[in-house]
Amino acid sequence: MPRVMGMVSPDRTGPFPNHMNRAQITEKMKELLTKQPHLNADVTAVNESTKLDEIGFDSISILDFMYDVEAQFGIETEVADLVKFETVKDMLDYLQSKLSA
Amino acid sequence: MLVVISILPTSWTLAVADAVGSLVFLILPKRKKIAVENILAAKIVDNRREAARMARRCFQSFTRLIAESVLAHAQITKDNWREFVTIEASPAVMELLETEGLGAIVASGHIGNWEVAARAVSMIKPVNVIYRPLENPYLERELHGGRGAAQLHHISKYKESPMRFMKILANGEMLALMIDQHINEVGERLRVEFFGRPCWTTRSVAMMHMTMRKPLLVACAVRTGRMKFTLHVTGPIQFRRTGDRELDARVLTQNLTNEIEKVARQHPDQYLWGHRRWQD
Repeated sequence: MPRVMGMVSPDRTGPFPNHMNRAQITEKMKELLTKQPHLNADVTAVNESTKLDEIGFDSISILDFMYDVEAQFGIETEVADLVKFETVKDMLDYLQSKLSA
Repeated sequence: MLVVISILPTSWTLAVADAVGSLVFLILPKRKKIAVENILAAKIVDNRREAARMARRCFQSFTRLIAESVLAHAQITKDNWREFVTIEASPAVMELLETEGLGAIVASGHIGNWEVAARAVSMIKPVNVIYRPLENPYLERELHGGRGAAQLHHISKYKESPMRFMKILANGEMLALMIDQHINEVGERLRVEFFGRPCWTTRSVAMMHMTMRKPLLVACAVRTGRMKFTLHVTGPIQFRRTGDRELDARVLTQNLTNEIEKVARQHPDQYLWGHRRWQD
């Protein structure tokens, strides 16, 4: 049996945004990007074609960001899916599919 | 010393390693002082004389590690690794190790011989060790330069793209990191207590587990004899997130640190006390 640590409680900080359209999801994502304390992303320059490499993520900040995305949108991501992301569009497509599921 | 390792019998090699450790203990007074002060502050012993004896043994433990790692490269194979390393772990951990395609994150500490442990586990499934390059280029080359194995890879934390570590886990491989080193980078660290004193450590293990949801293990390999080691593995750990990222990372990392401390207390003469672990 795995050892369970930590509290058992809902892992969601915002309302379940299944009514959000793509533009709203994009804005929420940009908001989360600006909140990453150690990521100096120029959010105004981020659009769907922006590559994730260009945002300046390192191996920690991308994990921080994904944790916040999951908490904000109330979803769980799969690492097998995450590794396929190359652009912001890939991420947005994924979020939309998760939210509409 | 490395030329000596290649031509001497194992027992002589290890004796030379011990002698070198004693010599290094004498000629590096700053490191000796750090080790002695750390041992005393951790209350492992209560007098300076005993602390100095233990510090000398820990220097010998490190030079032994180098010699053992070179020997392991030559001696340990897929067919005989069990003659060198015994894994003490739950059935769930063994199933995880022996099932192809199941990756895991492994937190470890600088105790015993972490290099030989990684090599042994790599005989079962691929192991990727994320490490911080040593400042000494000679030691760096001998420990990490080209002494990998078919399934053992050393990855400098400074050189990889952020997705590399995710891909390793997505591929069902093991990803191992040390969690008992001081971390300077502000974005990467958090504060924990280790031997009752606050210190900085990496938050990356906690963040990887919480985001990627791969099983988490704590593993430490202690030396039990001449080229004999026992790998103590705790887990698999499953942490339930609360939504407070920083709190969750701190709680989980503290739990992992406590596991490392437990093993280090049982085998203090095999712990790397000469590291400036406790910094502001």
